[in-house]
Amino acid sequence: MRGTRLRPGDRVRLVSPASFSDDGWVEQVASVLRGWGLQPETGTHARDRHGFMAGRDEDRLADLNDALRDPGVRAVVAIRGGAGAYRIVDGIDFDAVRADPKPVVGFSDIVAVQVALWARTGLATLHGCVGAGGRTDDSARRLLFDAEPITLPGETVIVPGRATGVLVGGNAGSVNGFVGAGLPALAGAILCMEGAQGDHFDRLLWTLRRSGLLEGIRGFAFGDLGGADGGLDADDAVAIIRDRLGGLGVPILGGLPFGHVADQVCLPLGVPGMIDTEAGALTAEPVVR
Amino acid sequence: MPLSPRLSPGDRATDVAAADLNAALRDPAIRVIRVAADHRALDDLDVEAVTADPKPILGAGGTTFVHLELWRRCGLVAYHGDTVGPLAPESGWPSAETGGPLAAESGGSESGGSETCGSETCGSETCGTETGQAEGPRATVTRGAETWSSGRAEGLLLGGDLAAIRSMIGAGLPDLTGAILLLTGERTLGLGQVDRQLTHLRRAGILTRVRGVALGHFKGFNGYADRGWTLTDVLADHLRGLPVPVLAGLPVGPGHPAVPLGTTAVLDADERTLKVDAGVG
Repeated sequence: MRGTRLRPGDRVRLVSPASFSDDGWVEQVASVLRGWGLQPETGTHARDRHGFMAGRDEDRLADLNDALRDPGVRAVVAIRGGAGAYRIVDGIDFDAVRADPKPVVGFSDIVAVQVALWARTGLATLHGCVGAGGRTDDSARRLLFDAEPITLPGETVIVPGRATGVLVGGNAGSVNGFVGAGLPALAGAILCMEGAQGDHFDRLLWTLRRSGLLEGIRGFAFGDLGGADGGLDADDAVAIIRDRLGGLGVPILGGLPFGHVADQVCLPLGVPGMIDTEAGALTAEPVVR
Repeated sequence: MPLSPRLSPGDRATDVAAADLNAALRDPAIRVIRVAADHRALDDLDVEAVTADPKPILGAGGTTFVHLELWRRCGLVAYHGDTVGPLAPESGWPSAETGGPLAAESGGSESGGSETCGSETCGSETCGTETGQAEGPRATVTRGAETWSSGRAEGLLLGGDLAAIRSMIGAGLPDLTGAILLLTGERTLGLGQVDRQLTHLRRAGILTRVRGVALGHFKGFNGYADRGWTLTDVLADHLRGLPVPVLAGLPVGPGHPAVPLGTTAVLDADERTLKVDAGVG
């Protein structure tokens, strides 16, 4: 299920489902959207502060649902990730999403919202952000306006092969939080993950493998494995991936530029995609129609 | 019926490297194992050796993976904590520091006796019941610091390290329905990580299935704050409103004497006590 492509003049809602940002960053995100001819507007509570979160759960959720329900809002952009989005996912107005699908842009902690949306409604979302400049903004704009596929280069062949499937996932820790708590079986999917968080990475993959949810999976695509909170040597990460997932006999491609890397490329999720280790590429169908 | 390890006077605890855990489980001369393990121990854990010769396995942190797995697969009573003592010998628990003799006297191992450890006889330390060892389970009482949710509950004490419990949700976590849930922790990433872990437990339905929550020690959070919040704020945010008794500040977990998990416990949040039956026969 996809939203429609954006057109100049469309309203776009900025929300903070997780942590708060300084005003300078909020303005930068809005300014980039204005530069695309859009009308950015900031959610009522997007600047709230409550501990490490941007306001209380009910307020962050109300902002998100207002954006999803408002027929004039044509895309929802999370200003940043952080922590806290996972707390409100069960309160999302999924009926409103089904009635009027629209792209939701974010990554890192926002992946909790994106996984919930995909699991409950099949909505296609955009993994990435707006405001960082470079190819991040370029890819976001193209994907939101042009309804075209995108190809990400990946040079690390972990298990060779070619596979097609629905692209699912994002931040590894956020995906992990749904195991036994709403993550559907991933048969037919290509699981995309980034954000290894050092020592935790092996445990994340261990949990996924033991969950049984990987049965029938078509392949894996790995982005940044350094993580926001402490790095993991790339060779170690590959060894862990091979050890935990190699036995599944499906293609695994790494080194893809999505996630916590400088100049990340935005990646549609919840859409058909393909990995091809010979071509060194991950291709995703359009996130909008 | 929990599988209770048996101890004899003079038994010693042996520190075991995680990689040598299976060898220690098979070694009849090793009677008490202390190990710092993690999820990787479950990849080839020798459960048959455990059922053939059950022995106490002590540890906090990632050793909870081993504890939960063995509870689910063979009902072995676990020992959550880092040190063996100083627990009252009559409690039946391992009673000396690592390497010292375990002055455990074999006593009655049948459950069902009524405990008589009055809170007035217990200080802030632990103590054993004063009834004859031959009748009823021996027990130890631990005192918590703060009542977060009122009430009294009885059930099997289960749980341990929050990160380990969370990592087994949907991946082999034993059923915690009706249990008194013990939660301890160690700081790895920060408050957001603890918040994610507790949210995972809540969203998986675990917090509404337990009869009570006993909060032990969370290592590494002393003086730690993130944008005005402390560990207590995060824990209280999830647990203070629960409709079951919640007792915080128990001296249990990393750096503390081990408590048995898998035996009957009484959590009295109003008296601020956690009474745990002995886990060895």
